[in-house]
Amino acid sequence: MERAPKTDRTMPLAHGGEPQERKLVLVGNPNVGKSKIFSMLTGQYVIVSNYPGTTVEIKSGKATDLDYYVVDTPGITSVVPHSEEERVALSTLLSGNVGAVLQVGDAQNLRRTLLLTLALLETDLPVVLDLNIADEAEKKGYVIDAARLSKSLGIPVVMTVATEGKGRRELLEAARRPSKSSLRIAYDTRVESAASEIAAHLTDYPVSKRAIALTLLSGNLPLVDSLLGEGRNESRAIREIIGRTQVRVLEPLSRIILNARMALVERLIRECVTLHVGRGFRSQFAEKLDRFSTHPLGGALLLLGILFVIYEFVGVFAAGTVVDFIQNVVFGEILLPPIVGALSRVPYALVRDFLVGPYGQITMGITYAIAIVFPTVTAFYIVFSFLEDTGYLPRLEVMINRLFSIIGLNGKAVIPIILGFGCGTMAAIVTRILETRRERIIATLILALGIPCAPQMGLILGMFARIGFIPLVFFFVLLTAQLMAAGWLASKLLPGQTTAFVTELPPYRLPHLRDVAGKTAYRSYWFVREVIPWFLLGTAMLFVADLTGALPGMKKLLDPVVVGFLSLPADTTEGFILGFLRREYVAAYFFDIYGRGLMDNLQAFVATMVMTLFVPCVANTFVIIKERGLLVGLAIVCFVVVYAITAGGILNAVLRLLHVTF
Amino acid sequence: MEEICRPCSREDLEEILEEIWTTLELKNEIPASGARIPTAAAGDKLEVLVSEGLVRQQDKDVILTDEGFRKAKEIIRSHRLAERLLHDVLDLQSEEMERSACRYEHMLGTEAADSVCILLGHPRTCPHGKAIPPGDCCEAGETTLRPLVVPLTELDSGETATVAYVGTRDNARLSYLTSLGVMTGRPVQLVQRHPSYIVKIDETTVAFDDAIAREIFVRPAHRKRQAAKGAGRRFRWRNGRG
Repeated sequence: MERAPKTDRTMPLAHGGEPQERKLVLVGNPNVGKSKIFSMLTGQYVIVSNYPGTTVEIKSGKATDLDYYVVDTPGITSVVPHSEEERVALSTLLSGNVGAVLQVGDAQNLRRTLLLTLALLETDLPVVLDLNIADEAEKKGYVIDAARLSKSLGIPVVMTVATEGKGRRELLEAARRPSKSSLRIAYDTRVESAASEIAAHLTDYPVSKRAIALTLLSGNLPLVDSLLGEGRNESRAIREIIGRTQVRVLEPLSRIILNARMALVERLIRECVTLHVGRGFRSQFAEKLDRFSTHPLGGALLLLGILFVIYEFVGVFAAGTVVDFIQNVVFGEILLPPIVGALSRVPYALVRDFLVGPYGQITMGITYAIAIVFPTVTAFYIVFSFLEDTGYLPRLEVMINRLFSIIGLNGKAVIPIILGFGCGTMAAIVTRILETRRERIIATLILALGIPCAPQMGLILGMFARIGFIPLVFFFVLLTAQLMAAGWLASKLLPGQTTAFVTELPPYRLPHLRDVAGKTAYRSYWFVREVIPWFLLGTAMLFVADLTGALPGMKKLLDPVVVGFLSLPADTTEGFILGFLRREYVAAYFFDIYGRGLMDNLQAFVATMVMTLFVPCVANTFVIIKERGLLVGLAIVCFVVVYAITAGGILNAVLRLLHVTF
Repeated sequence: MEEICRPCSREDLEEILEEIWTTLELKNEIPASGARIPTAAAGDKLEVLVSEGLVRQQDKDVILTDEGFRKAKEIIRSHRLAERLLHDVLDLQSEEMERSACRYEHMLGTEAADSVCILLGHPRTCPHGKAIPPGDCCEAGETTLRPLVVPLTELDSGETATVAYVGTRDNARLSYLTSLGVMTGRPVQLVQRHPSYIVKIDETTVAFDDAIAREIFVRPAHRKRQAAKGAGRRFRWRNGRG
């Protein structure tokens, strides 16, 4: 029977209507391969990468060979939630109907893995421990006696190499017979009596009350409210117990609890692990690259090098050569002439125009999506997926932490910001990995204001491939300066402090071609599926607006702003209107009219800046409102629109005043 | 846990080593590795001493090993330095001083003994006039006291250390750091300080900023290395003493 836990209000599950089947919940430290194991069990493709925080939402699917509904969760470091996505993961354990917990751990980092195992065992849920990445552990000389570990812990323990599908059979076998452990750590008597006192105040939970009590004792006081609901009698009583116990023991309660677990972990390690020294393996190259990429100077050089490669590959090659070829040769000479020819026999001008006119579904909608945006975005995804799998992104956090502290963020915010270069919508969700609401708002603002998404970025690079590399650098310096200023201002306005920066650096790994290709294909497929309907809708709207005379009217209305203030051609108004629908549509539109010689370089520069700063697309706006709330969401969107146009106007005036030419 | 609690055996052995040392001194011999030991001094613990590698039997003689000599020197040094500290600084009278010194000798490690030695200006004899075996600090002529436990910010790049404790009262942060492997007793290596601190703990690499680095207190490893080297320098000490 499923009981809805009291925590639903404050620890919402990321997804609701899920079958009443028994769940197998995957939990574990970040970046240990939970998603890969999830794919292995369900046969579903999920994005996997080499950095902590790839998964921020709960994913679920039916297991192919097991009688379970498998639930993949974001990585957790302990049972005391440390950020929004850890809270999401832990809430799954409390959601009821959990048939078994499958803890995935890194075989090389057994101490950390077991520390979490011991906490999980206390929930009284049946647990299976999977030590993944067993190949790297073996290479480094660790020999783990899984059978003995299993006996000591009282739960099944298996070893897998998920990237190669090794150990699948054993894992399935173990998942069929999860067991509750009888292992019980006796804590300091004062902690134990406080735990049973707290347990007496707790109502029904699908996990043991002692586990919840110990989690509350290990956490900070606000945790009580976020777990039980604010201002309730029971939470007041529990806070009082914790406060009283804390005074009595002097040392932080979490340390007392952790020390007891650590002592047991050390014993288990002594019993079950031997390290064959001399077999210790580390790739010399990876080690050197590691040092270089986090070196103050080396890291900056490497970053510049990477950016230059992206510029050459995405901007010059994909958005230039490939798009030219597809747009002019494939569409212009091969595909479109016969279609236009065939349609010329259609007697109705309206139908003809709707399909192949200036605002035609085929000539504009499909051509933009397939000929301009698709090649560019795919190229960007290739580079991006490759970088993700190497483990470079967390190194970037190390480099950028100090810079980010100016705007009230820490290095961790690099991940959502970088993901924003892929898709702003996804990035707005990933801001969950940040610790405080303040940081999440600042990161969302920066993302909405000026982080171009993959198609936009690709097309910006494509345009600048013609304007020049130096203007591109100038463009990004200017953009960064504005983002820094906006972030700095927001950090001054929002109450709170910058939180301390701690992150784990995964080892450098050589990406598998298969993984990079798979991820790129998956992302491109979703992109096409999602974007084509929007492009067709946008084109149809323009078509109708043009037909009814609304478009010329609107152009006239916005004329003082677009032509007068920004000195852009009147046609760009359409682009900005499209920008509300999809960010890439406006990019494709500008790219197209710039290519046709309707904008000079200066206009293109201003237009690109306004477009980059301009509103996030509809999907992104919805996500921002969902994640940040209606008030903050709307405030961000309004600010962005006003700011983009103002900044564009000022930029235009200054450039013209100084007679800058590109 | 049961295996940690083999009651008193370490202290027992230390007491015997102390006894061996003083017996040799009484016979006007200079205690050294390879010295012949009167079997009586070893008492009924001879077997244990052999199995621990502190002494070895050669024909009918019992001989002090390198390890045994090093341990014995350490314990005598700790005992006599403790006496000096209690007598000179804390002004304790002889009986109470003796009782406390007997407890301190088991508690002072090499590092702590060196610190006491530096603090007292490298004393050469105990209050009873017996020689205090010099340590590395005496040879190096160190005059400034280095704290044994320092925040991570004090380490140089590439230096290794052991985590002493994480000095935060923020429970969530403590859990988080522990779960990353920053735990008491774990060896860490500081890889770099700029632009962020990066440390290696087992197979985990963790990066953090100043605020966190200041809260992680470590015992730098270099002092231990010096102490280990000290065992090989015993001849110099013998010459210097004569």
